[in-house]
Amino acid sequence: MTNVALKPNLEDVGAAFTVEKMLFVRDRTRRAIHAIAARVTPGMVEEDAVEMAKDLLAGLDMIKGWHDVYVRFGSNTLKTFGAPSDPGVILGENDLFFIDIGPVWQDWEGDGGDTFIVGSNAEMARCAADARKLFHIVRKKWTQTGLSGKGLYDFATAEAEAMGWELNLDLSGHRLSDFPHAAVYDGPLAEIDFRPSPLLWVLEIHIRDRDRKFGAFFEDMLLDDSYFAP
Amino acid sequence: MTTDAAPVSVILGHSPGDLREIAAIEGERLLDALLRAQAPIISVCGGRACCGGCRIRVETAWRDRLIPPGRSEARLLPHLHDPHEDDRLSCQIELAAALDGLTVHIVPKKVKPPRETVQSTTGEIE
Repeated sequence: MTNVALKPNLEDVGAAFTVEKMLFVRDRTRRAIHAIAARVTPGMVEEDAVEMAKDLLAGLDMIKGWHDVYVRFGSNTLKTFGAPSDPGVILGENDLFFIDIGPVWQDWEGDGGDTFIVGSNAEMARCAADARKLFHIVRKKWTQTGLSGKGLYDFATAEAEAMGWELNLDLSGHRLSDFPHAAVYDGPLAEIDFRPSPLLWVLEIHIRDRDRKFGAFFEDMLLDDSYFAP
Repeated sequence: MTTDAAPVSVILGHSPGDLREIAAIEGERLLDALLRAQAPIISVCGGRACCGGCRIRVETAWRDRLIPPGRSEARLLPHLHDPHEDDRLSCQIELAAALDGLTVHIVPKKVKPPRETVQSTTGEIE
């Protein structure tokens, strides 16, 4: 793995970048995720959930995205970013699903993901809760130390293992900015050798159970505690 | 891409009167031919019809000779700036011999407004 160390260049932003707009789109993104989740029900086919999510985002003028819309059901929650889902997976009565969206609202990128539970499968519930918990453990580590992106994901890998999960390093964070951040840096957070600055990076946590039956995902911007509900 | 694929010419316009011919082949995505010719478009989403960076404006006479947009493309196009009925995503167009001479234009870039106070002008999220 080649590490990237040129902080000033990798944290460049475009002419449209403003703190307020980035936070505004973050808020819209998180609320859209929960609005999509509220419309997902057991018995639904994953492909229909994706179309529902896209229709909802179009209604919010957030259908333009820097990446595709993912709603993954059941065993498809093991799939890594960009991998096609197995077709025809139906959400069970005791199941889990995750949502991963990267909408562009006007000139600004959002990105967010979360996992949701239906029914009462305790291991699935623990997996979903741990994805969120691990996100905050790593984020706290970031607030308290000068760890680099690489250091944060080394830490996340060890923490995930201690929790009993495998961390998928194919989903290991990235830049976010005014559209398109890819013009600045489209590589992973896990490959940078400096402490990432707030508001410019997304921390992704994708964990899988060791029997490879399901996974859980959570992502949000790297921000301090004041931006998260207690 | 195979060597025995039929050649297809695409005519690319940057502005009125500024046309140039791009060599492509049957079966190739229009996006790939345009990127190879260094046309000023981008593909951020990798051809999944979600970023809109590869949008082009098809010469009207060619519009009905293309396979109509699929659901994802049709849903996105009205949400891009300055939408037009001749707009298409080049990532969704597969070149065929029947499209030899297809003429497309670069969509003028959005003129970004000065910085302004954050406010929502779109639907509320429930």
